[in-house]
Amino acid sequence: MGYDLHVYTNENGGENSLEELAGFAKKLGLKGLGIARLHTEKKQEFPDTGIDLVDVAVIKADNGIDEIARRIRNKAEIIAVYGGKYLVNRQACESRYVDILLHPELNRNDSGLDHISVRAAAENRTAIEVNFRQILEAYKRGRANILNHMKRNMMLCKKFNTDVVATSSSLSKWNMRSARELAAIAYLLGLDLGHAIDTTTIIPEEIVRINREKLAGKRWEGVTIE
Amino acid sequence: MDARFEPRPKTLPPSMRTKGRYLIFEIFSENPVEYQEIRESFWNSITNFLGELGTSDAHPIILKNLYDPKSQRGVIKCRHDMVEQIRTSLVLVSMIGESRAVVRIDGVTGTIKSARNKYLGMRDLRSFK
Repeated sequence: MGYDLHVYTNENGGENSLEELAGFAKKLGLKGLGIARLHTEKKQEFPDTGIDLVDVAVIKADNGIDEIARRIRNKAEIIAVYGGKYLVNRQACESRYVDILLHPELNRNDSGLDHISVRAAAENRTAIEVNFRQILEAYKRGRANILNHMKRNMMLCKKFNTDVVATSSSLSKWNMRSARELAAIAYLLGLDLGHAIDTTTIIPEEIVRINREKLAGKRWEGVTIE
Repeated sequence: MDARFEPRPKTLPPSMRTKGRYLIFEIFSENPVEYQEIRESFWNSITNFLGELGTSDAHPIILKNLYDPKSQRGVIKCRHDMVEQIRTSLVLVSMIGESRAVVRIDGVTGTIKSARNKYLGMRDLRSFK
């Protein structure tokens, strides 16, 4: 039982409808799905599918990540940043409004993160994503390079105790995988087995819980109302 | 001489044998898939991901007689310290034969007997005391 916080439906560039994804997620034993949309798009209304559906707003911009994240903080359950460029990655890590930095090593010849960014991510509780689709779609040399970059990022995350989230980033239901399988990838990238399993269970659950409490007005800086 | 009567080395004592683990897998696919197609795609994925040296370390064996084409569930054996590597290799399978597929690992056991009893539902009267 775990969460996959990065999935696209057919309304946001994916292949399958929300109901199909939710049905398949149930088969795979997932507890919740994060339905990604661009931050400029409207929030989707989720029907009752028997699975916990989370609204994930993805910021795709080159500048002013912190400002955009602050502005939409109350409009989405999770705020993620479309990474890849070093400056974007760094801004996302240094923002306290951002929850997840997606694929920091996308289309790069290096890992996209350095010790300064990862330390900042740990301080601001921004989680770094392990993107399964990137591994799945790459082949031979490309896959070896991506795994190498991800390993480097995981080494830094382990050192600075930064949160890591493993997601499938699937555009189709056939790219989705169960939580334990995604955790196995995080384990092979260098995390301890317990920590790797947390990347699809405890950490995403915690992010969702805290943000929902904040949205419901039950939580301020370090204070929770029961 | 008939190959059946060829002298063979004795089976090693249990303490000297390499420990194995049995991964019970389940396949979700667009169309029903055959055992041969599964075997081919699993081997491709494992050798691509782990390389020849890693594959020889993991020593994977897909158990043909335990594959059930109806439920599309089966068992793959590997070395006990290579379970996560094999699990990840199977995660990377996206096509089996001509159809898109997803492989899910239902569980890992230490013996074939417990794999049959717990996951494949192959119980007999001896299972009940």
